[in-house]
Amino acid sequence: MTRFRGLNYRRPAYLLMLMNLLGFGLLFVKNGYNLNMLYVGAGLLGLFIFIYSIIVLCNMGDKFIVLMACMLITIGVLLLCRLNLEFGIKQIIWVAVGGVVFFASYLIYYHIRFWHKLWMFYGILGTGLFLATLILGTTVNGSRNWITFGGFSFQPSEITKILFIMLLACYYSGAWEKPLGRITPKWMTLLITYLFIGFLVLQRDWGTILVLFAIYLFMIYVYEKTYGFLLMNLGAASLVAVLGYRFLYHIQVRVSTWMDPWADISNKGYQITQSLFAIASGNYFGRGLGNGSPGYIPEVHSDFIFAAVCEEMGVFGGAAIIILFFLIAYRCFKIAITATEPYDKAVCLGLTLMFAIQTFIIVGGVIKMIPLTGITLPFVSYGGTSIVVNFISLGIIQAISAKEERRGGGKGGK
Amino acid sequence: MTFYTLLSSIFSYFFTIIIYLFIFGVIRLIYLDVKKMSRFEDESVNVSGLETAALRTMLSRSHAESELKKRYMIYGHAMIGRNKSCDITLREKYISGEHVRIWHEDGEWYLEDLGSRNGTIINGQRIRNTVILDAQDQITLGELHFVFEL
Repeated sequence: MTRFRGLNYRRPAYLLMLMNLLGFGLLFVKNGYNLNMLYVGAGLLGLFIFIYSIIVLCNMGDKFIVLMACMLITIGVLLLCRLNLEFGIKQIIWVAVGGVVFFASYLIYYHIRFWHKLWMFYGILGTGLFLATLILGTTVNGSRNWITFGGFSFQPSEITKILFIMLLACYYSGAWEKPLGRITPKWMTLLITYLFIGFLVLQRDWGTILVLFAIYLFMIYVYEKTYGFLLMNLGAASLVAVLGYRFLYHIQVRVSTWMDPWADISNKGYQITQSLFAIASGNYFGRGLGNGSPGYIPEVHSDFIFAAVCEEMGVFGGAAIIILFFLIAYRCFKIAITATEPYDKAVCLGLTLMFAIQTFIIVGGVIKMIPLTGITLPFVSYGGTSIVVNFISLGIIQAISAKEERRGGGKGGK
Repeated sequence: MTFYTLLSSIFSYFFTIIIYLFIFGVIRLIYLDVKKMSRFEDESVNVSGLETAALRTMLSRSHAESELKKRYMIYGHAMIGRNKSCDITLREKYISGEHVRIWHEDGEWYLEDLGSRNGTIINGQRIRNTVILDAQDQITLGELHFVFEL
């Protein structure tokens, strides 16, 4: 009985390995028996085995979240290698960096116990990153949100998301009660939220604005006792949205291509219509890895990877990605519920919301359910900062779940 | 290239099947995990109003794999065995279907072996009939070791 159970426990990990073997084997055939492909696949597989076995051996809390994240990364890397081998290799290097950062953030979060006192640090660091972006930033695709640092570029706004969540958690866990001057913490969080959003407006990074604001609204919804504050924020948000639609050409374009992409199919609506064609041609099981033509979609490797997945792995593949994110969110919510320290609870909730909202916004945008804003699909899209930041969030969630498991075990008698 | 196209379209079915098997595997493990924690887990909530005690698991190396919990709570009365109908289900080779019964009566905790095949050992002594349990008693069921806690 025990042995059967043990086997069962490892089955998803074996399936993950099988998926890697088959996928990279197929790409090996596709690229004219290019051995690089096999090295890439072996590297990724080794990385997964390494990360997962450390988690299991060191008993680091929840085992499923990282497993599901690995599956998402596998799908992403297979698609990226198929699109462009260079992207795939870079992505794997980032996954390796992410793995290291994952364990680092796990250890740091696990051992430092005064995170809830550092709200001022989070606020100042976040503002500093935004100011640095404004001064040193370079413009890519109309958004001024990249900092280039000696041949190495990253998106500070991704890091700000985590800082922002930790800041909110300081207040909503009840650790931050002392008012600064005459402003109470509640209004201070409001002020900082709008300050960050103001910086993001200057950077024209609409996707991150949406993510930050949605996290803020959901935190208010969960923690505030009355709905007045929530309604006030919603009112402010809709006012800003209407004003933005009135005066900003960018947002007008986004909304008009969402309402009717076919009107200007060769220009403004090109990206979204190509994405819809790709999804439609995928059918249930997809056309097969390498048989589709996702190359027609601009930005297919980062924002529009979901369309490529739907084309080559079918509607079932796309649905699987959504189910995986759903399960990740479920596990994280469960950890947030069982966590005993209020700060851990709030941080875990915020990070879960970040994954969930980001997935909703980009998948909704790609399938033309909501207006498109460019953000990455966590773990699947190409992007160094995105992968690393998602691994940091995973590390924090893992640390919270490990704390809980170990506390439950070490309690002893009454 | 036509060979590759064919191969790839066949593989697309494999991929879908693998991904969904993976998802079902994870869901099944999550389900087991939730089931494991739902019963006798939450020690802070004792709705029954009964006396509570606990069995703390002493993990041995060979059982690290199985799904043993760190503590099993007992609310007034508990049947322990391999059957699903038991209050505390231990899926181990050397545990009988209905192995042992622990209950509270007149301020004392009692333990009775229900004729298990591999027996019950308390503080190193094999027991035959009903005994009274004290705190920190070591209970061995089959190959599993527990400490009784009040």
